[in-house]
Amino acid sequence: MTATPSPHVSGLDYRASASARRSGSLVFIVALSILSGCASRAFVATPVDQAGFLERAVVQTQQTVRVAAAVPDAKETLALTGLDLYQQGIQPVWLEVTNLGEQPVRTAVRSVDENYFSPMEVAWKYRKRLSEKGRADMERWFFENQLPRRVPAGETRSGFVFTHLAQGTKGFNFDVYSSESSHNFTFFVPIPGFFADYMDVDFQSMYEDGDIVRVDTAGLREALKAVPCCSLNASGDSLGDPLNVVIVGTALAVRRSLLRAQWQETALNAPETTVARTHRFLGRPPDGTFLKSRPDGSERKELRLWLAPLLVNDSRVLIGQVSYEMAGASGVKAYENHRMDPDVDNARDFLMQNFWYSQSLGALASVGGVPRSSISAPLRNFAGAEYFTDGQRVVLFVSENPVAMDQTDILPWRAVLTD
Amino acid sequence: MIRTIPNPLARLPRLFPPVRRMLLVGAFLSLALPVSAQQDGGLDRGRIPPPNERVQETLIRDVRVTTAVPSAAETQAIFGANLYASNIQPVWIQVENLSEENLFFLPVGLDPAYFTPIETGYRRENRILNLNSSANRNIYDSSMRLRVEAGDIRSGYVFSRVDEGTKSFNVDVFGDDGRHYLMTFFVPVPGLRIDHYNVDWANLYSEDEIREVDRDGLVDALQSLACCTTDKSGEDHGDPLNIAVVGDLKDVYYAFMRAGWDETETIYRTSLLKTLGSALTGNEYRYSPVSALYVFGRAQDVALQKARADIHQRNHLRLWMAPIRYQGLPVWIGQISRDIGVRFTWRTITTHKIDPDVDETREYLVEDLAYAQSLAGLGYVTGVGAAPYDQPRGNLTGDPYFTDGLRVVLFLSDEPVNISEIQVFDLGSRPD
Repeated sequence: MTATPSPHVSGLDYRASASARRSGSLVFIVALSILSGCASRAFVATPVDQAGFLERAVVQTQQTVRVAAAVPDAKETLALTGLDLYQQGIQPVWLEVTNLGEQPVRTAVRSVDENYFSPMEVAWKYRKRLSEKGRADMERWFFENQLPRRVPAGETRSGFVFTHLAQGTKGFNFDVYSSESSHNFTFFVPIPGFFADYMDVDFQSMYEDGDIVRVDTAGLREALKAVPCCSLNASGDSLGDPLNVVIVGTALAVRRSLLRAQWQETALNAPETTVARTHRFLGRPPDGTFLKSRPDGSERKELRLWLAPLLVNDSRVLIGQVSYEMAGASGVKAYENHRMDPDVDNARDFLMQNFWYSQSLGALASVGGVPRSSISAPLRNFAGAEYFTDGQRVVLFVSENPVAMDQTDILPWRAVLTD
Repeated sequence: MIRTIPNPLARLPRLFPPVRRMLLVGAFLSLALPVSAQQDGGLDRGRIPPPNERVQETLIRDVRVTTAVPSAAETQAIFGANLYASNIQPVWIQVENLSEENLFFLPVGLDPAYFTPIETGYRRENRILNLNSSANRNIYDSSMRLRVEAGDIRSGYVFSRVDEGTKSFNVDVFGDDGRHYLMTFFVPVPGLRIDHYNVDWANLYSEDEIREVDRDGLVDALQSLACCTTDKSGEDHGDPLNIAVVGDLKDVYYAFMRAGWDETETIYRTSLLKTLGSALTGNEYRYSPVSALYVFGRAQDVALQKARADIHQRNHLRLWMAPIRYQGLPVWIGQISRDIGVRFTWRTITTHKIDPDVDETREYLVEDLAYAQSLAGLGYVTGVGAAPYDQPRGNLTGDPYFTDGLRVVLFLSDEPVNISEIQVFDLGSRPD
């Protein structure tokens, strides 16, 4: 072992400073001898332009920007790089941006996944598995195949964003921006083997045309008065949780908002939604149930949505309930031990802020419709869970385009969210 | 949609011509103010007295916000339990609405993963829900609510995740017609040494050292600053200085905290041990310290970090105030690095493997501030010096990096800016 800087230290050649040589190189050698092990594999990548998954690319165009998106599954990712990225929780998303305009545009990689993995970070995870040359080749491959941040006028650029593995449909937003303008894309790329709950719902034929009530904003306020307080149990004879959320927006705006705010879809008949599915509104279980977990625990928010036979101008109306599910005593099936925070207004207020901060909220309002109750005299749902509420439902008008926080309208329907 | 979004540009503060700055009083002053208002109301809901005299007050136009953070012991006294041990730190907030409009206080701005009051009680009782126990009612009844009516004063606790040492947080108050009051507080809780308390901001430079520059002058000044940080001797070059920030101190803290960055400390022994512990276990220690790097002959003025999933995945950022003013605002030069792993060194026991693609990290920061709605504009200047992929340079700890040689200039906004409003300036350079 020697203290001379070694080219083996990294796949990247480098020239360390004098002090680093003094203090660091011996450590590098020690670390290297621990880390390198018997790795001797070469890095073999399939050329991206020959990859089969590109045939599934979905293309969207907005004004002067065209974006193609494709997501390789686990096997295709392995074939592409020889690395089991899915097992490390990494899912590559391939994007191609064509700039048909006259100004350069910038790609916002962070819009796809706010905690995306940088290309060299992915390479670092696999450093021990490859030979020295293999490691250098791998690093270069990840560097060269990342999505460029800039697309000059009239040109096309493509590459990967390395996202966290999503169970289920790969839904993601992608923003392309230039000076004082942006193009906001939302993609849903099905991943084989996953079927979200809302995919099982036939929204198109759910209501006859004659059943749908068309209203303007003022009419919505009236129409919402007819919405019952709560969901029901399966036999329809006992009240469930309060219906404390109304979301108004186009289908695209709703999906974008949920993605921006980092809500996760759930699989059809997932064990996590067993309780949600016991709640009925309009005679059926939720059309979609979405979860949002705490970053530092197993607690989660749960949002159950039903499509109502209402149209506000061209926007759909979803009626639902949001609650905060506290983690129960630890167990193998932790989801079975969740229990609802009885302060359901807190979850409702969180949802409002969640959409507001994620630039999705065009306007917000509040209407009554749920019986008032208090912490001293809470109500119980059909399963015996306690809750109390000020009786207000929040009405969230979600926007397809990003809305800065100070541009959200607060509609003077009545005192919003009194306590 | 039910509304047409008004032309957002009408309300956007323009950088060229000058930005008007919002008045913010006392964000960095600790004022022990008499809080007579809430004493009138006794202990009824919505009027909760502060936990101690370490209160801090900020007034923006017609909204006064006062905050205080109880220590672990004070929390024990108030709530009868060591909430800190459950990772819960109560923050006392009082919003005095002197305006004629109803306002919202938004706790997500303080901590996007705040705990609900009931959850706080539930954790306190070891996950037994007893809604009307006196302990639970004490927590619930003293919690801060969102709504503050015109002319009213509301106070109560937000149950946030624990920050050691100084509790730094934003307070956001919004009303109709886009009115908003955005504030940053630093409330000392004994234990952590924060760099910016050691910086004598007022006397960092004498008046004649500071140059006020126009746009061309800004580009020239930034391009002629040093390429890189150095060690204390000033001899060895370290990380590239690839970010410049234009904004008041308060805007810098607000913007980075909105984007999820935490203030950090410079290495000393205790935290070194904590860092080693979390490096070995992978547990999150949000305040693991950073080493000192030097520019202008001094260590960083501001050190921030953003934890991702664990200590192996965090970003570090250091800023130095430059003797340059642009449109009356301080100009900062800085360095950002992304940790992608841990490796071992003799000098500091552990150090982080940084992402050699420093341009990627730089662009991440642009987007991070953009989605925090804090970025009014950006542009690029030279000054770092290019280091191609095949001829990387090394920093002080021997990490290689390569770069296109540009530094990004980030113009912060004190108003929310959505991504469609960000201006991209041609400052003479741009990345490929």
